[in-house]
Amino acid sequence: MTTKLTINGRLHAVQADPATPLLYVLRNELQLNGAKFGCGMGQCGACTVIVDDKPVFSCLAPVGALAGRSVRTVEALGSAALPGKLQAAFIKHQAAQCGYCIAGMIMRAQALLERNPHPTEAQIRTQMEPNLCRCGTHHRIIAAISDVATGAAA
Amino acid sequence: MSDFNKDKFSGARRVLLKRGALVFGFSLLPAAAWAEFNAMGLPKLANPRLPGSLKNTPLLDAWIRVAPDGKVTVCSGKVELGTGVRTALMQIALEQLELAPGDIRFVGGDTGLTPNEGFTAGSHTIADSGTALLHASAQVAALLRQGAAARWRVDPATVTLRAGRALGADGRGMHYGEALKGLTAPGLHRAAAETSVLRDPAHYRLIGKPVPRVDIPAKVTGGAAYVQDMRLPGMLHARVVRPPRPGATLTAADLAAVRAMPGVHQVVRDGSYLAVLADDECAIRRRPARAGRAARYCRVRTPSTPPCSRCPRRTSWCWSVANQGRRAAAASARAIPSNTSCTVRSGRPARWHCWRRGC
Repeated sequence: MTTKLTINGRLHAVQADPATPLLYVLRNELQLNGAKFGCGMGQCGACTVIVDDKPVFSCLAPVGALAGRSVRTVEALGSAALPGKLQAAFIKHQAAQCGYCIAGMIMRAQALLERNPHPTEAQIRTQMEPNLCRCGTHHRIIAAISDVATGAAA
Repeated sequence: MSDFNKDKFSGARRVLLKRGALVFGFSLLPAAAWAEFNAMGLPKLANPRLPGSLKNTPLLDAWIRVAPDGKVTVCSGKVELGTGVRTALMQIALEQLELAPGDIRFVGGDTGLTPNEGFTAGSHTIADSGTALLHASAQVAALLRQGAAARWRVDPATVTLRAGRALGADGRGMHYGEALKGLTAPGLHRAAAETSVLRDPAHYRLIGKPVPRVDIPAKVTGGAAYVQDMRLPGMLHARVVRPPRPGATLTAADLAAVRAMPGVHQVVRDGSYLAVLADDECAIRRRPARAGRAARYCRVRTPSTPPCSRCPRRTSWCWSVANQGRRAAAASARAIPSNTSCTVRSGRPARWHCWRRGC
């Protein structure tokens, strides 16, 4: 069965079984590296992408439920050569150790900044709560998001 | 105790470890294969007086290669696990070679190209590989100066290296590939010397200075940065079916039914070890291993479909989702046949709805 959905601005007709979690479509069918498999249970946030305007655990979202919706992964925000504002802030603050959680962190933060361009640090912390970083890079992650939130990264 | 004696001691210990490992791990390997490696999987000690991993891999061109066009490749047997060692090892080599980040190709942990340095673990990377690269790159730099001096017929002490070029006192210059041609037969394919002439730390440009990590841009933009990002032709995915508790014995498993599932290549059972090999990563996650009663397991079945907790629809459901959280397991009890039990892990309750718009 084919599911049509928009991924990073392009319409894709996905062939996968509708029960397939979006993550596998992104990683295996579309070969996008951004969203990561962490726990596969919606407990870590490494797979976070933005669906329409909300952060979503792509490891739990069956692709069949996303027909007609718009999915964005970290690849949509910029490239290594031309990083987006939030990505550039993460690079500036060296806000990654192993970096496995970071694409998910960035997408969750991006969803907040699109809804509220100037969140307080408390709002940032609340928003980022579902995403885990085992290395302990939290302070740098918050500093990077705060940079964009306060306009310091511009 | 002198350094030399310490090294002799560590050599003896390695031999001891090697014998220990012969018993445990790899006793099927022929004795000849053993002669090459110690228990850490390292090549045997070639010269205990050499610094760092040069002890095991003394040839300079195992670490630093200079192509005829002057391009430099730096190799390490250690891999980037997110600690920034790729950047740190580059800083060390670039410092001695008078090069800038971006001037070299760095290869880390490629079994076909780099020295075998065993595991990347235990905070050994800078101590072992960093020390080897420090000395190897300093010695290569000295050889490049010597090569350039030989071609110009001048004293090597008058030749300096800067930004990838050997410079003569009179302003002449040549790139490293040309300087290499001035060296006698083995070129860089020679064993490291036991001592090196190192740059004066007072003039360091890179070591001890903050350098942005080279691996971060790919990690924040979805570049290929992890082993999971490698996609090889015909690649299969394997998954081990875990027992519900330590010591559980596999008593029954419907292997034929799993083998018949689309995308499954092979089901491996070896005693209580059970693994499924499939061509699709998702397919392999959905071959459910149901925990049997008590310590006995397991029944392998297709996933059942529990109802959505918010609307009358039935969810599209992956087995892994069912295994989240005690509350989730309780909620799904109606949907799971009573003769099976779930592996219940602690954690947040599952997002247990059907993911359709508005639900």
